[in-house]
Amino acid sequence: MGQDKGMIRSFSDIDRIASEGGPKKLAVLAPEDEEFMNAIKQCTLKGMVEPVLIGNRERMERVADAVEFDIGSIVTIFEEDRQTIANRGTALCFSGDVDIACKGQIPTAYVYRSIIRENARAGGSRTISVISLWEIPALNRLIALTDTGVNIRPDGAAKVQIVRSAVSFFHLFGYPKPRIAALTGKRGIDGSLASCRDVTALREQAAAGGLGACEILEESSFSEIFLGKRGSFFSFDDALLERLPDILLIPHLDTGNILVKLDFFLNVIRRSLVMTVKGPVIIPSRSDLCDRIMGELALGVVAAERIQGGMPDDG
Amino acid sequence: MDNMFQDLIERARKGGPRRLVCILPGREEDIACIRQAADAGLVHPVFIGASAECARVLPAEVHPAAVCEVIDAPDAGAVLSAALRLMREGRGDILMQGACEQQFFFDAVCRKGSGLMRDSLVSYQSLFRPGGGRKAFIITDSYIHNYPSLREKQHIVTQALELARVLDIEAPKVAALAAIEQVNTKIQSTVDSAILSKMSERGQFGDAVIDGPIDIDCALTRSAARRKGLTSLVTGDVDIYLVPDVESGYSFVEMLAFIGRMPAIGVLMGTVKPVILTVPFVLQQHRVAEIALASLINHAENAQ
Repeated sequence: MGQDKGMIRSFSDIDRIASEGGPKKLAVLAPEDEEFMNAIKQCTLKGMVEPVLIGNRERMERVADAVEFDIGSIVTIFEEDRQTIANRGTALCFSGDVDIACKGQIPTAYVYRSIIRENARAGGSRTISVISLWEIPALNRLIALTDTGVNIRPDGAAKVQIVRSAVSFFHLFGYPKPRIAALTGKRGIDGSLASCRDVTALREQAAAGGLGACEILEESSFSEIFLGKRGSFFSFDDALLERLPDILLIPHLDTGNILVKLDFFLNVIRRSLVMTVKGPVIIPSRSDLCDRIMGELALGVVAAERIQGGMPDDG
Repeated sequence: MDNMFQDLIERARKGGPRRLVCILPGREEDIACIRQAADAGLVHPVFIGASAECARVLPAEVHPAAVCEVIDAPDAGAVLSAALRLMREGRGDILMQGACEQQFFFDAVCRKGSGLMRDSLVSYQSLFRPGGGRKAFIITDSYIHNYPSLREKQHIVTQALELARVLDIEAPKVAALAAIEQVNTKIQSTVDSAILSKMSERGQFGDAVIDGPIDIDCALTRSAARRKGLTSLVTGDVDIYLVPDVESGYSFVEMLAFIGRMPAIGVLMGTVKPVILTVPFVLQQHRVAEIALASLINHAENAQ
């Protein structure tokens, strides 16, 4: 089971395990951009992945040529229609023909649609979510923000599924009882936010064992996490990063997008994935460059490896 | 840019001291920052509270010009009413929450007839000094409105532009943030941002550029925007981040303050005279700069 595996504390852990673990089969949905194709090339050369390329023939061949990637010996499926590409790649992942799927130059909504359908067919939830990991240099472990990409305004039931998926993922990565803060806009005025009520419901559900082994904290804002009930902020040293929980549950999509991409501003590194009952799906942002895409693929490889070792809970 | 808070203090000092009214001066940290502000020549403190509280403050020790208005009534409501009366009568220039319970204080300030409301709503503007030579920026509304409507966002951004003028920011660039940079009718923030952007294009916000919907990576870096095919004057050069709602705004400012260790101050805008709230993400040592900012806003209002 995942809990028995070593705890993964950093992205260098992930890169090492991904390189050592041997290639995972990867369905690549529309690799039609040079940065993206270059990332596939580098991961292939490192022996991390064995790609199956699905997309427009002319565009795939042109960008492969541009990055000097010989795709002559690689399995390719030529397909024009964007939704069909998403469906075929996702189906390969759910049938077990590949271990991971990765979105290229295709609208994200198409991929989510395919994942939701396949995940439900496979007995999983209809709520899927993006788990974004942050590596913060001063912290000797990874933290996650979720959902950072799918659910526009998740209700309480959807948040239960989002938490379950993240908890399951953290078990796989060797965190036996992740601590979770459900972020809200709770402050000194107007405490009528729905997200504040969700925290209470999630705490009850966690206490009853309905979310897997985890702890939902009472604190629901960074002020509460870092300052407790004292309230006054005397020194940056008061904000001890060790107080950060393992998982930050985001109230909704707007918040998730802003917070998770603050890696552009802060001294942190980000990698994201979607966990399904069958395997990870990588959804790089359209602004991501080669290095970041490679990092996300390494994360997918390790997640696939750990899933194949046994999924602790229903994702 | 990295000395911006000190520059604010210097500018405010040149304008002369403002009368700062602090309610229920029961918190040591409030007294400490007011003492610093008074010593820096920014304010003449006016403490208002019950006699026991005021006795503890000992105005002469705070500053020779400090005065205490002692209210005999023991309850906070009477003290707050008296403070608002002082402000209405022109005996105070800046109002500070002090130890008054925040919801109670906020409701009293925003109540019709308080005499403090200038606009139909107020907004909270957080001013960040990021360091490393990067320019300062405003995030709004980071505290007040749970889910502001388009009309409310229009007021919020107008008040942010007013603050930008006080800070001498010419033709401010505003990123109207949303989860994605395309308009999606299922995501209200994208629709609101697009409308504000169009209003800006038609000159409805004066000499400012509001662009949206913009997601945060495009707002923060021009290269990310370029990858997404987005060309805008605002990308990578934002003065004001307009957030979709308080859950985004509050977490945004808290994350920058606590994880990014980025100094921030803030002020309530939309009132006749500036109001300083006690918020958890402003570092104690920067509260003098916060008072300086309020002072500059008051000077600007008086100059109009």
